[in-house]
Amino acid sequence: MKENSIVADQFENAQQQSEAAHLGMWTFIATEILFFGGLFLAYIVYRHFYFTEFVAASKHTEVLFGTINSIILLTSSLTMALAVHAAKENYRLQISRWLALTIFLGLAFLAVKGLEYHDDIENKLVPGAHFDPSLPAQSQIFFWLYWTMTGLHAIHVTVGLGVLSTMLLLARKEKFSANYNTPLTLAGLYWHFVDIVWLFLFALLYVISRHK
Amino acid sequence: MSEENKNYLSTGDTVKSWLLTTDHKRIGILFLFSILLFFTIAAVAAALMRIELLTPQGDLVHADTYNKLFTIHGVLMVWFFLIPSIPSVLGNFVIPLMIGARDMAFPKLNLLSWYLFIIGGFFAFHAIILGGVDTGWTFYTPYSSAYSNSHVVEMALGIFIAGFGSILTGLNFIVTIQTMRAPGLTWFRLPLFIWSLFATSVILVLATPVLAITLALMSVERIWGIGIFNPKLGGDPVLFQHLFWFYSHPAVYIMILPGMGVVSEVITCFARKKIFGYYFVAFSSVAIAVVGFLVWGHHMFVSSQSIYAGMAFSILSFLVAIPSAIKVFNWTMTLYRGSISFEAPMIYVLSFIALFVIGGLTGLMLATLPVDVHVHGTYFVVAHFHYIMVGGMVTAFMGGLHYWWPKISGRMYPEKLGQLAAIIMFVGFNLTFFPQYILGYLGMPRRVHEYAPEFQIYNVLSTAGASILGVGYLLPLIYLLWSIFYGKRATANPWNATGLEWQTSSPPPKNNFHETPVVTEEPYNYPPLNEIGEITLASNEHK
Amino acid sequence: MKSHHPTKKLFVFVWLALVMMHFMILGSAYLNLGFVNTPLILVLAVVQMLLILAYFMEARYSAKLIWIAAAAGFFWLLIQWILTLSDYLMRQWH
Repeated sequence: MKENSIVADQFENAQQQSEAAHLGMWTFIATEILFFGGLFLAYIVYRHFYFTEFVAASKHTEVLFGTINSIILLTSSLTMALAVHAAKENYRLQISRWLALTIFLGLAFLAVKGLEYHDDIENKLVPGAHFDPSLPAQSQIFFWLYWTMTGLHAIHVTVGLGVLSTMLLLARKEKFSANYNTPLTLAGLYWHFVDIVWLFLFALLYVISRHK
Repeated sequence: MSEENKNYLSTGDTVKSWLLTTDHKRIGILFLFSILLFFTIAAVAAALMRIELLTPQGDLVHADTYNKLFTIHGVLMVWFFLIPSIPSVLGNFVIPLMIGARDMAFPKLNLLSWYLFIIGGFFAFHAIILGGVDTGWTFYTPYSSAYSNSHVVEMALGIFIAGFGSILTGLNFIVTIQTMRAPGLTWFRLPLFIWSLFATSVILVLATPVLAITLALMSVERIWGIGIFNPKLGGDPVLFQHLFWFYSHPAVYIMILPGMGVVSEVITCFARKKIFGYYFVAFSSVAIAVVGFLVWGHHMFVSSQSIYAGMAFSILSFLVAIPSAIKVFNWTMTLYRGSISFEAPMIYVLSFIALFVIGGLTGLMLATLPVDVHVHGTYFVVAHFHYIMVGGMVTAFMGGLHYWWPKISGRMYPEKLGQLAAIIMFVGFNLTFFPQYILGYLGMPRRVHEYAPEFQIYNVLSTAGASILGVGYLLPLIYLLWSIFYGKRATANPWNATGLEWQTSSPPPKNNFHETPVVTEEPYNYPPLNEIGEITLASNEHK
Repeated sequence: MKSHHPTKKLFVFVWLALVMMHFMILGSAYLNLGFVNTPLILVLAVVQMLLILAYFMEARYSAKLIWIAAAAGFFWLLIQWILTLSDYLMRQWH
């Protein structure tokens, strides 16, 4: 069996290396939490300022697209978890399969998001001179946040797809096993985090004021 | 030279061996030279401003140029000099040495930090060449996002990219300190420099992303032509300030905590004493890092922020003074009955303590809401933060650089010149910035190139001081470079200091230690007083 | 090590729970429950997040240190929100 649990020079052993890598990734996730946090704070403040405008605006987001995308991302988190699980159980073939499926779902998410953006533009929901005049002026703030938040999230999905593709290449070369799966596990952590961000985007942008 | 005896400098001297290095010591040196470049540009901007302010009339530069000068000075000094100064240069160099590790936990990420810093610096530099930015380093909206006719987005992009460099540095430090310590080196045996850098890293990792998103939002608003910080649409410019200062106030502690760490190292070594109250000094670093996040609103007392929030922020700001004062008291107690000698690093550290006390106490005045309303936006504020950032951090950086210079270069710097430069800097600094307290109290606003004639005398004093300060900075630049080639060769431990970094040769081998050290005692275990004389004698005989 | 790792079955269960909660959120968007709507949706979203953190990201099976790193992110986020809102909620002029 080919052994890939290579320990880099600076570490004493594989366990120290894996601990360091995990702590590094979680610290990075803490950083990401605060990166998105500023945007959510802006959302809270302006929802407080312009409540009725936010309610009016949020009814114009496309809840069907949003729902489809939520299911896609939640499922992709499952397939990602299963890819890591396969590595830990040493089912090397399954790793690639689950990874490929995760990447496919990620691409599907972006495609649906693209369709939704297309509709949004048609419906004049881009803040600025061409904004739908029937909506109150301050609902532009809602849509400014909508575009920036979902856009930033889509960039994260795209980066995630790049990372997962690299993992797929490594998995096809049989690099991962029960003994060595740290990069794959860390890629998974990032992917799940991106999923979590979407959960809150969906809740705040699509559904929270819809009943009013 | 056999492979065994090679040090990290002699393992390769090609450009490639430097640009592709993953050795934390070499990366530290890459950072040293790059931050010196930015320091020089920013210092030239400051010099031009001081010359302009010699006379009350605006006779050297236009108001517009003046705006760009103070923006260049602020942006470069904060993000491209002070923030990376002690952490990325000295921290990078000594953290693995101090904890007995072969390298950082993520050496490639460490190199990436430097490249991000350089790419960010390139954009900032490019923005300056294109014509500069006139918003001040704070980028307040809606001026920056809607009205300024300067290269705001490019400058913000530079800071954004360099910011990711700092995040990665912080992340690397946290993981390295947590997972790479030598056997026996428990948390409470760590040198206090490590504690202070750990606290700094927590701030780097948790505050910098907020700066990134804030600058990104400001830039999107500027490019898109519409946004959330512009009151035209009902946006609130004060929200920008909240987000900006959520980063930038803790960032002030990025610019002082590492300096405090240097002080603890140097003061114990040159007083030949154990630090007084190790636990208090260690935990006060953590306390400053945490409480430092709760006080940002004191930058916004006159910004139409709620007066009740202002009061809360004012009280919280007083709290930061407690851990800071604890440190000063503990350092003083460490000096008490110590066997003090005044080598250059020690002179720097003593001036740090003096200047930090002045800067810190005027900080308390500024945290007092009604006093701030009086002196807000005046030279009083300028003087206060220069006492902390220059009097504190730059002084500590110079002290640390001299202290570890034998380890870094393998050579001794000329001691007499070192002491002279330290004294010149102290005198020049006080002459530059103390008059600015008076100017501010009398009401001279900051960021103006013309002023009422009655302020001239203090401005002349300040400019005179700045020229002395300039000489003070030039001296080490010359003699440190000289010492690389002609300095006396340094022994492994020229200061008879404790600490693992002094147990390996100077300069250290590529992998730091020939065998992993084992730690069995607490730090700063300097022998009791009566033994000192013998030790100094013994080491003199070797010479 | 293997005993400290969730099974395939558990992953599928968690996924089912997540999808179910998603539809509860969606459904509650069309029912007028008065003041209950907003907190309900937020609580459900937070529970979804905790499930992902605990099982998919295996925080439940990780060292204390990992908990601290993740908790620090949320703790500092709360500092940011609470102190900023202390300004907005106490403003008298808006």
